[in-house]
Amino acid sequence: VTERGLAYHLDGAPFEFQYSYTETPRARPVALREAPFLPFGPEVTPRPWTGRKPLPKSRKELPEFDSFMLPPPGKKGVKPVQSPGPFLAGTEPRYQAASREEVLGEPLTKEEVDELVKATLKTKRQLNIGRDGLTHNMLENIHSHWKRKRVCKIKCKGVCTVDMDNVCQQLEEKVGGKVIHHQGGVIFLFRGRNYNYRTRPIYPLMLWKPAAPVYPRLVKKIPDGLTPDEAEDMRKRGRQLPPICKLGKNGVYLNLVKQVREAFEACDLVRVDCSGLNKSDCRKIGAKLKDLVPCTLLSFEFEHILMWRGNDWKSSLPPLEENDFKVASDQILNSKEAGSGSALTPIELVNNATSLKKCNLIEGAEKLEDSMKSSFENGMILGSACGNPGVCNSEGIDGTESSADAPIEFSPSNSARDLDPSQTSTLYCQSSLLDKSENGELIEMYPDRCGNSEQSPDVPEALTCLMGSSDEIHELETMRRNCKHLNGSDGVNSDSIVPSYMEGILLLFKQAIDSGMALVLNENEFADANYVYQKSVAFTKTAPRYLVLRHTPRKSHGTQKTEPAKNVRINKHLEEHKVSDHVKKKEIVMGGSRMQRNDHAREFLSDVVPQGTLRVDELAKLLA
Amino acid sequence: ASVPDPAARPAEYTPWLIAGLGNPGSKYHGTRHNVGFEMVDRIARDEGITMNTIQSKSLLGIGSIGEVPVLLVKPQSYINYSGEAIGPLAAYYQVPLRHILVMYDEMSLPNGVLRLQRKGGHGRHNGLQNVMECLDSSRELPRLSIGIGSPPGKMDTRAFLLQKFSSEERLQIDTALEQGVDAVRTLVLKGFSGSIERFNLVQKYKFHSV
Repeated sequence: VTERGLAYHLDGAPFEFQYSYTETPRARPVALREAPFLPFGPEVTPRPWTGRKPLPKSRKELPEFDSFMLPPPGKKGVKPVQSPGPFLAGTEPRYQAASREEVLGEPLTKEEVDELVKATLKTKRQLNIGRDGLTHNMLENIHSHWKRKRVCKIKCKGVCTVDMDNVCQQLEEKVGGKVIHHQGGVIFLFRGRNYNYRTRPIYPLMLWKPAAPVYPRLVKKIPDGLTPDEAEDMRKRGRQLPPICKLGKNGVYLNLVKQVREAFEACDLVRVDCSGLNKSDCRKIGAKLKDLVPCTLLSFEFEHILMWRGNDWKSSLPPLEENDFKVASDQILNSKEAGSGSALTPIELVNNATSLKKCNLIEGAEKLEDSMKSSFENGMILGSACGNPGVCNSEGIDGTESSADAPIEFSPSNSARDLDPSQTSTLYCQSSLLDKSENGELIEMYPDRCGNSEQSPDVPEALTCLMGSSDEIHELETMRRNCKHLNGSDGVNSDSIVPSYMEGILLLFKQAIDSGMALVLNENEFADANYVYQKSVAFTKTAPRYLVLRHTPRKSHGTQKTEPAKNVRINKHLEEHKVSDHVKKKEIVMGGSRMQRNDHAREFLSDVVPQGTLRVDELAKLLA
Repeated sequence: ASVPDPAARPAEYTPWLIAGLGNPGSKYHGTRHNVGFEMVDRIARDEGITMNTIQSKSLLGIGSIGEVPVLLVKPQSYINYSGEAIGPLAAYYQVPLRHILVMYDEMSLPNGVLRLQRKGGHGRHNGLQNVMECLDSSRELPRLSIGIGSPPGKMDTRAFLLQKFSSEERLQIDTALEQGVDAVRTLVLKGFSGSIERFNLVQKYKFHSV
């Protein structure tokens, strides 16, 4: 009667009976501790009965639970019985379902599963599975749960939770039913839509617990693939090794296998702390890990499991690629180019439509001209975008793409159409003339331009803005030079040429310093932490909270003369720079008050209110 | 107000804001809570970035790692108000949330173990909590947690945090910071990838091999 473990083959039984279906070791037993016998009771086996006498039969007349005749209403002692499973609309219950598929019926829908689980989640009627795993007698237990309830709640604790997949599989195979949900060590086993308690398979109960046979040793003195010295050395090392985890007393070890596997990626020896556990539980967990991870067990010393990953261990992680990454990024860039090229045309169409809607006051002929013009512009810019890549590097391409986006977006909002062609033409000329580093600058000007054109509906104002923007170009160039100067002096970047990727951030940085939001310390100062703190406290009290101004046209008119001088001074003396900063702050404050007073001025300035004033959450939403 | 257009912004202008949390002043220098500052200092030293600017309550250094612009930030507001320094800076330099790397001390990790994460909670770290509050209470902040271990016995947590490292721990932290600089470099250049996961794994089981 012995095969893998102890199994009992009876005539007419669908499978071989075992004492435990989940916790029987995989290894073939070496010897038996006693003569084999059938544990199904004295009438099967000629063996003296050593169990307790069965209790005398109750004299009370027990009510018949199993009858399908409903008890009369108001009768005492009637326990509720759930009717067979939830039926889909239009299907009849089948009471004589034989096979598992028939009993289960159609698979449950998600709503039905949720409802069933929710109803069983808090129930206290449960079947506990412990260190013996799913034993033979539990099959009958589960059926007696199913007699009254559609779903049986099964709680696993301890050793069997290491391999929950096995438990679920054995349950479905041996008992039937379907695991509809499992979480932690708790399994919800549904009995099937057409379940009938009467037609359940009936197996003989095991009345004796058969003695476990003798299995080969779990821990060999010298494991395969190791010399005695190596094994001894590993055990010695293992004694100093900190354990990767401690098995808690809550008896849920679902992640243990995963953790051990992960740890084997990093180190060859792994130790698990089992202190406080039953000694045989510790061995059983070790045996399971040996099969599941897989690994070689080295020792169970000090209530710890020491494992070695073995010689033929292979990493499950993919090897790191260095070159592939670059190729992938290039591909992404290319696809982006193609995507933007194709995506621009629908945007164009939409823009034309909106512009048509917006300027319904203007005659139809003008409309047509408008649309023609805008499409023409777009085409031109697209052409420039397409023409540039040969010259520029990938960054440059990106820049031109975004620049192509920008005019498209401001064209519908702009009613002054005289502005567009002139601007774009100038821009186009410049872009063709300037090299890629200056392209970056142009891009930065676009938002400002957008602002300008949005805020100025009147043609004369737009013209002034145009003037302003041409001023801006000059200013930006001077700024760029200043940035270069700053770089050189600060030693941030030893190269005299500012790389294109740094330009944007340095520009902002420069503006911060100019507008008095930032303060540059000299070498002796920023080394001292206390001084830095004091300085920052003092500085935050004086510095403007928000960025108030950014190279506005007015500023360029008003402080044109002072600014270059100031920039020179920055490079010369930091002290003087601070003073000038203060002066400038006053100017800014003045500007602010004036702004509040003067409506016209505010309108003029609001177009250049910088992006820095955005609140963080708005920014985050935009950039997410 | 004029809302900046994400499309109009050049694509390459995505700097990283690397902020280390800590308390200002030399009084707190070298304590467990200031491990973020040490990390920033280490990065600044290795990348040759001078931190010489004060802006919005923090000490700031601008430079680049490879071709990526980087802002190194040491908030000079006290650690529990670090968000007041980092929030406006991030807004000013238009740093997207996914490019704000916060480096802080983590008590749930053993001493000298680093972990880089794409997002997460604050883990009862008041500084990080404040940073997250100031950045739209978003969990999607990249963070580098530097393990400092948990207080021994019944020691008060605050006392533990404001204590200096013991000599053994100092050695562990120093090696960890070296590794952290490399990790930050790969993060900035390549983003979150397999190498970062590998880094986390190696760090996690750093002390589990003899």
